[in-house]
Amino acid sequence: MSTDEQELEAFGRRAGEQLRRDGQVDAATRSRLAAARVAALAAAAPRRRPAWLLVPAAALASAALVAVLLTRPSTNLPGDGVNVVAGAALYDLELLADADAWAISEEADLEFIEWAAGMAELEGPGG
Amino acid sequence: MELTLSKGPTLPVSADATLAALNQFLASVERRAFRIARIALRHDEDALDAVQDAMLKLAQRYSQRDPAEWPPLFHRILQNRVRDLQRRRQVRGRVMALLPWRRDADEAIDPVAEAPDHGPGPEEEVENATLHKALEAAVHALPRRQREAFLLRNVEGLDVAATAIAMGCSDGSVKTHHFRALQALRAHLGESWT
Repeated sequence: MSTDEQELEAFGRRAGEQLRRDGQVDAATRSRLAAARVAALAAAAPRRRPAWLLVPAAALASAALVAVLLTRPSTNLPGDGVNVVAGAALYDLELLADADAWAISEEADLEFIEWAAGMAELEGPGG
Repeated sequence: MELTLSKGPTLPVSADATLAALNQFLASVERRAFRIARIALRHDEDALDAVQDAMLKLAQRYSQRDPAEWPPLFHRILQNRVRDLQRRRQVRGRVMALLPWRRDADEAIDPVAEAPDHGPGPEEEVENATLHKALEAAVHALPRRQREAFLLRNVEGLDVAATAIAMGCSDGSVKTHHFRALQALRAHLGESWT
């Protein structure tokens, strides 16, 4: 290192020491810096949640799960090999519930059945 | 910008020990950090905000890192925050300059008179204070990267490698910026500092 570079380094050290002097930070600023430090430490501290807080959280999660299962548009039930379509039209549910309806829909004239069903609705329950 | 000093938490120590170490680090660095921010920003409140934000961010994001990594991380956060505040101030200044009813009010403000007054000191400190203010003004007038290199190396006392991490550049760039900063300061301050 040349003499000039050494002088430059020495100048840098003196300038740095001058700028580091504590007298330039007043008491109010020191106090605010300390408060900022405390706030930062509080942010870094791990938060310990009491165990009882988990009870309502678990209940809420369970309720949400039940709600999701009940309102899901389709469910594939394992084992029975039949796709049950939840939330389908009421007509489809009636078709599945009525043992004869499936056979009729397979072999009969569908247009005729629809016409007959329409007539039955027009005549009403007493007709 | 995310920092990539190590891959994640490296401290297998207790939370209390981490907090104690973090407290010690922040207490040791806070005043110098404030001075560094004040020199760059020339505004006490903004400098306090910058230091506060840097402390909070370090604590929230990097408290689990090795304490040896904290100084460059902290100063990198601080420098970024200082830069944000400078940009915001520039934008605000441009916008305010466009408002016709603000021009008269701005012209009436004397920036020298508005500069923070640290109160009169004893007679023997007057000369020292004058030198100090001259030095602060000279450092503030440096180009940003030179100012950062000078403050981190000579005021904060970081070595070249840590300064490079804090500034987000190579060791060679730090040396170049630092050398030019010292040359410019010495040329600007003249005989009073030689």
